[in-house]
Amino acid sequence: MTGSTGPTGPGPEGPAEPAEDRVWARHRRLTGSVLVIGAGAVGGFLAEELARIGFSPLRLVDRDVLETENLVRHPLGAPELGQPKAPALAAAIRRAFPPCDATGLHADFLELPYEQQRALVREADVVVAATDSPACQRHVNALALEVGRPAAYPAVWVDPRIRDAEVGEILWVLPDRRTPCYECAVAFRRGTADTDAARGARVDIQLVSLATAQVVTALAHPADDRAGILDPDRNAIYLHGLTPTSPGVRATFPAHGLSSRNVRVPFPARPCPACLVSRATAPGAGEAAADGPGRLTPWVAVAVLVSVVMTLLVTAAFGHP
Amino acid sequence: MGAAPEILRDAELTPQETRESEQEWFLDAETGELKPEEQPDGDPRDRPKPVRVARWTFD
Repeated sequence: MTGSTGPTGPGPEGPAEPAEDRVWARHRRLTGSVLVIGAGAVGGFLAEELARIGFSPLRLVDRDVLETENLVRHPLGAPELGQPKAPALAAAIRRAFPPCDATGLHADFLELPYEQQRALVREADVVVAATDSPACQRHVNALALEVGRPAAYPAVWVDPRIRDAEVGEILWVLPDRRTPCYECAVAFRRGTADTDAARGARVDIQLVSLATAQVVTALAHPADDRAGILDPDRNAIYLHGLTPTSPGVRATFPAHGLSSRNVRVPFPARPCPACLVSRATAPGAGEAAADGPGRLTPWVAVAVLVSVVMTLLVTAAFGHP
Repeated sequence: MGAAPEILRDAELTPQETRESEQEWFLDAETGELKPEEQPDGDPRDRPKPVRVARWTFD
């Protein structure tokens, strides 16, 4: 990217834009296109952070408007009350950080025409689904798998046993079925979120958003050393925030305060309805199953059978002129 | 300048803290629990109990 040596002159619309070469002078820019579906607390802070890391363009999609109850945990403030979250946040990002081409769509992603959904996903290098709609999360998962894009699914826990937003989770999925998908990981979650329980400390939500930004960066730049934070065998990250540890989660988070765990998500025993992979057909499953010299994997057995049948057919064909 | 501390406390973890920090977990999506991975040299009796994952999440 070329940059000027000084700021552009002040225009009629306000202060000069910062020179891009100076913006990135101390922090190497990492760029790429990101689609963020859900511009609430997690998605909102995430979008801001991605802009500052250098990602552009950013496409935000959200069906809601900013309400008073959102103010305690949303990057937008009182001047944006009543405005659709996605366009308002995109405009705020563009104002505060001109190098980022951010646009916002006030829409329910599920209700967009399929071709538009597909186009949004196809345009992105990484897709993030940060909604409180299980149906939307699952649909984004299916679409990202179909189009072949890496995706991240950040969220915070709501549970009566623990403090609000005490635990965050980030599931990340590689394309080509190299990792279990979102559907593989959330089979136990049915129904819709309890929005009345959607409380949460601002600080802990921002931690989840910041961590998700690192995951997005790693997914977008697999050759960068930052990609080392992703363990290919453990594609879920659970975070415990800066809050006293509730007894319900102490086994996983024995120390008080901020910590994280990389957690293994197994492929399901039966084929996943989204990625169609099961433990038996997962990458590496054949190698893991072959534990002796005489044991054949299913695919090798099929190949041998086909060869035998072909041999018999050819022999029969030449034996009967 | 102030005096240096007379005694420096060891920063080593206790055996239990070491086990806890090295313990790995997997997600059982059938039951919705985080469960401890088996450790090759570990005593099954020392393995922590599963942790129930929240059924609800929000953005």
